[in-house]
Amino acid sequence: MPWGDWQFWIVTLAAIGALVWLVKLFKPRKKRSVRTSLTIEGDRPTRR
Amino acid sequence: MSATTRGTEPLTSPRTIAVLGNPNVGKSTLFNRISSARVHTSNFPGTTQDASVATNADSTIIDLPGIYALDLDTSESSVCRRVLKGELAPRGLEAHVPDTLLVVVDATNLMRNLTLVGEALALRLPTLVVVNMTDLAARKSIVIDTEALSECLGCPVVSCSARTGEGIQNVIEAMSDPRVPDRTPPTDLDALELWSEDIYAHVAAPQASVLHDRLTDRLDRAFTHPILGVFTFALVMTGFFYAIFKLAAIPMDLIDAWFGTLGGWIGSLLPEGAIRDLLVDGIIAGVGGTVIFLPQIVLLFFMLALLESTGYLARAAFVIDRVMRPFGLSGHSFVPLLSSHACAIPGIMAARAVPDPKDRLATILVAPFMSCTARIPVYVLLTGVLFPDRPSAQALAFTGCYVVGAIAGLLSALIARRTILRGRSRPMALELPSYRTPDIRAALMLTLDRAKVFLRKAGSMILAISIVLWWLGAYPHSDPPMQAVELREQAAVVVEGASELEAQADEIEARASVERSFLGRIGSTIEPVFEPLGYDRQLTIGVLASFAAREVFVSTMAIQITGSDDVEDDSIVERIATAQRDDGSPLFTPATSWSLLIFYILAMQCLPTLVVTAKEAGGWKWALLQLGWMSGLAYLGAAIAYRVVSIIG
Repeated sequence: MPWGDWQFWIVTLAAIGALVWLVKLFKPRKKRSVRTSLTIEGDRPTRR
Repeated sequence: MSATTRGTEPLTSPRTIAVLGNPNVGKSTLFNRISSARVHTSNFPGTTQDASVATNADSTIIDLPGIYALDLDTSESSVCRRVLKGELAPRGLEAHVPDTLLVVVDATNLMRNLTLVGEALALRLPTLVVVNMTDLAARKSIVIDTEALSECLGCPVVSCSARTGEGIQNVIEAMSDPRVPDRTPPTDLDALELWSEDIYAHVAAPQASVLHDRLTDRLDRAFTHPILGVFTFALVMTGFFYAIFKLAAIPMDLIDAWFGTLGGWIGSLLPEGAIRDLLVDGIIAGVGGTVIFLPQIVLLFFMLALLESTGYLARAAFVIDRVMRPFGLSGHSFVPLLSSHACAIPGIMAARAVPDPKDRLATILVAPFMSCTARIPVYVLLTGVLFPDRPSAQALAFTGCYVVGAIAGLLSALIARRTILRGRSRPMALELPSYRTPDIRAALMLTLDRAKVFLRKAGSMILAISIVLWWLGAYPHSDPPMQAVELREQAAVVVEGASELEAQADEIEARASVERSFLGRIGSTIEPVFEPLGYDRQLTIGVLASFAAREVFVSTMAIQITGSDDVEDDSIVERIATAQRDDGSPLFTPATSWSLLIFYILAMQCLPTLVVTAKEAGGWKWALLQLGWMSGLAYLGAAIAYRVVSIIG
């Protein structure tokens, strides 16, 4: 392996980054919670 | 789940307008007309449904999926119900009850559409009803009294033709003044239908055009006829694919040439080294290999959208329903499977429209069997190797590949529906829309959107895969073989033929480099697994490298055999065809070529498709099942093909 070649390290880092990105893509994501606004009969409540 | 309250201060967030309507009422065309703002596609979290969302400073318009009723047990109806209750919003938007509900109805089919309007009115949201397709209604001599309809529904009603743009300004103005309906429609379905009939009788003045109806009936009789309908369908599809392949050829060549020029330009700019090799041989070659298929995908979606807007696609789905039923699929699966002939990714995504969950899953599982455009380079190479100088036999074999893939898909669907997805599928309920002139603007917008999705999802994945594969193929470095060193020494002293000797040395070095790389070593280790299929080390590397994307097979073989991935060069394809194994025997015997052809027709060999299957089917178990089934079938089919052809000779 060309350990002394700086270009080797750049392309290896790029390959590792791509691999990590692929693994992250494969990993199932957790469902995000859904934010909702409080409404009363379809209208937003007024502050008293 | 968190909740937020808003005070008496003026609302700064944009007004949300939800667009609701039956399928084929011109809802999306109207949405495109009224949303001059930025439009993007967003999915609903936790669901498989997409919505077009248009945002500007003071409003957000959400184009909801087309539904027949709100209380149906389908994914689309569930999404609409939850959005209208304020429980769900497209990704990136805050979920709350919409400020305006815009219900779109088809003026030519008002009575049927009014049941959904009745359900919408019961929600008691500020509502506006838009009677669309007034141009078609006028042609059928149907006149809708919008004032009387407004009186009956208890909310404002405006009419327009989204296709021609007539009345759009009225719709935009009315959108700022919706009203909470002051009428209460019945909740029971039978009573709701009676209510719709009563209102229709009160507001519509139908004077059916005998001539128009006769033409529609005649066309319907032809397009939905058990024999004539299938014949028409075959004719339309032949023209459809011919047009796609013929028209896409020019832009595909241009893209190919552009990536070639880009690679050459970057190659000349950067000094020799690993970074240049990664950019030129890894990223540009890999991404270019995927983007080259974009014209076919764009054309497929554009023509599909045109066909759909004419009203023919619904008739085709009806005809194909009869063909698909024996295999446990319905006519709803037709469009996803048709789309898969361009690329399985949009095909699998299009399966969202299949209402029955088991039908949908079966469609997703078999969609990659359809011969996608990525298989074309492999088919071209292998049919060329099998039938050199016999273009008619090549074309026949090429068509045969598509037929074998489709049959394998249908039989796999049958097996899935009889085993893991057992159960009766829902009968296909489909409303046949009126025949219309195609809406080019809406088709263009849909095509643009799909092209973006394809480039984003497939392109980014291919980029990462290309980088990883390039690295595995490039390292570790090895000393040049003695033969190559000798050739270079000869080239340095001879006067004529030096460049040929250099080229030969390059070829030997490239072969040795791939052979000794990590990828090559993996190939040598796994070679015994593919021996029953007739593959040597080089073919094993080709098959392994193309695991992520099947089109990579051709360029991998070119790199291994010639040291160049320029497969456009005829002499290189010829050299691949006449290449030899390490023992000096031909690489592509007839038995090996048939075995490879069968393997690539049936094998999964597409990582992005697997990822999309996992996302759309709801888990990796389905993607792994798809991979296992397709790979197993491909292995078995290729082994049988190899044995049979070897015996026949």
